[in-house]
Amino acid sequence: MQQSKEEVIVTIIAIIGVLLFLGILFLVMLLYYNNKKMQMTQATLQMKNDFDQQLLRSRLEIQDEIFNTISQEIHDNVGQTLSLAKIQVSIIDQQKIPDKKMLQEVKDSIGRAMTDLRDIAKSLSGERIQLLGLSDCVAEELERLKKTGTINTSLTIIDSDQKPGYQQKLILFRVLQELIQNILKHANASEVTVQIDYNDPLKIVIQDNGIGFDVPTIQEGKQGLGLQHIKKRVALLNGSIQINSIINNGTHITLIIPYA
Amino acid sequence: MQLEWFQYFQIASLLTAIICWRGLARFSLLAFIPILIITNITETLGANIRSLGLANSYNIYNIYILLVTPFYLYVYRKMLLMGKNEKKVFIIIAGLCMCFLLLNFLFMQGPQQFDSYSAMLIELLNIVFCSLILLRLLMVENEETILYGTPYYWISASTLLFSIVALVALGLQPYIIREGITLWQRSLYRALLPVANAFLYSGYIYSFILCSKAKKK
Repeated sequence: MQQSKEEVIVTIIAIIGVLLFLGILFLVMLLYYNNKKMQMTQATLQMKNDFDQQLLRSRLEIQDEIFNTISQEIHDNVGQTLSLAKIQVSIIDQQKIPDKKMLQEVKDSIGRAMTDLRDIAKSLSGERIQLLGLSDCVAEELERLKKTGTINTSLTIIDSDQKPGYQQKLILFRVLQELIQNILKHANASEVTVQIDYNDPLKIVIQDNGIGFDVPTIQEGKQGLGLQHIKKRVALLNGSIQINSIINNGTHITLIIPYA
Repeated sequence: MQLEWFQYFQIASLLTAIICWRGLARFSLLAFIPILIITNITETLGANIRSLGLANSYNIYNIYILLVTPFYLYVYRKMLLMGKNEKKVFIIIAGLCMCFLLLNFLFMQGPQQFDSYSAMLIELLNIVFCSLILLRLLMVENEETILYGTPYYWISASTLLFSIVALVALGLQPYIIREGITLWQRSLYRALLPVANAFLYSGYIYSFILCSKAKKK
């Protein structure tokens, strides 16, 4: 009888023990899950912070480059034109009877300087990029390139319902500006074609018939700093960049940017 | 008047609840004050039945179940953070539960023996509701909230573990008494429940302190 009671006690305690174990296991699993969830949240937050910082750094770099571009444009184009106008005005000043033809030339010079300044302002304005859209801004940029008189340009758009967002648009346009600037400075090209395909993923192809370059050499050297910045910015958009260049046979650059 | 050792935990939790009442109010847990007052009175009466000239404490505990259950259900309703439809279902379950407790007290097992069916039902509901609260906490709580830093977690966790022990012990209470099953020269119920009680009320004390420290989200 006593033995049977002991068996009952052991059974009851065993049942309680098992149930308690399950209860504690449930609580521990909840805590574990909560902990994992928090770790994931923190990791996501960290990634977001890193991304924001990278974005900020990139914007500062872009800003820096823009300032350089402004300074260069003003010095090379507007400055030169205005200097010429100043010299012409000085000559006119020394003349007893002002030369009408020369006056017209001064007017033309000032007009050109104003147009140049307007073009610079247009290409630098972030608001304008948002207002016009990527295609129109690229078209304006190519038009500016065409005005130099040495390069023919063409733009092909493959439209779609999808369009890049605010940050994407701004960064992409600055990347394209830098690529176009590089063509102007280094490629010695007579033909530049740009193709924008808005289907997902967004695909942009820039091709020129310039002197080309050895991609690995340029990327390793100091000259490749601009290219590295471009790559970093494309990576920021989760995109990829492919550069194919053949010496004396032009350069073909493809940017692929996913929307999501 | 004599007190069992675990009753000091109950008294301590009542005092903590009174001291931290503002915190409890912030977390909609003020109903714990009447719960703990009733619990302390019941346990004190239960520990002194001989001085009171009563044959057993069954009637005291049966009435305790009837009195304290609505307050517990109210606390669960608050802690479950329910939507409109869920509230309706909860009110129906709570109503049915109270009907069963009354019917069992008046007509089924009656007031003169321990209402083990009522006790089992209550402990079962405790387990279900506490598990739901814990799961809900995990889903609803702010992602930056540490689960063991919230008062609801400690209340639910300690009640869940207590109810697991109590479900078996109280459910088998009539059988334990009938067969005279003892552990360390005490009835199995009397041997197991004090430890579980001490754990439960320690959990309550900790959660009340957390209530006064934390800010409700």
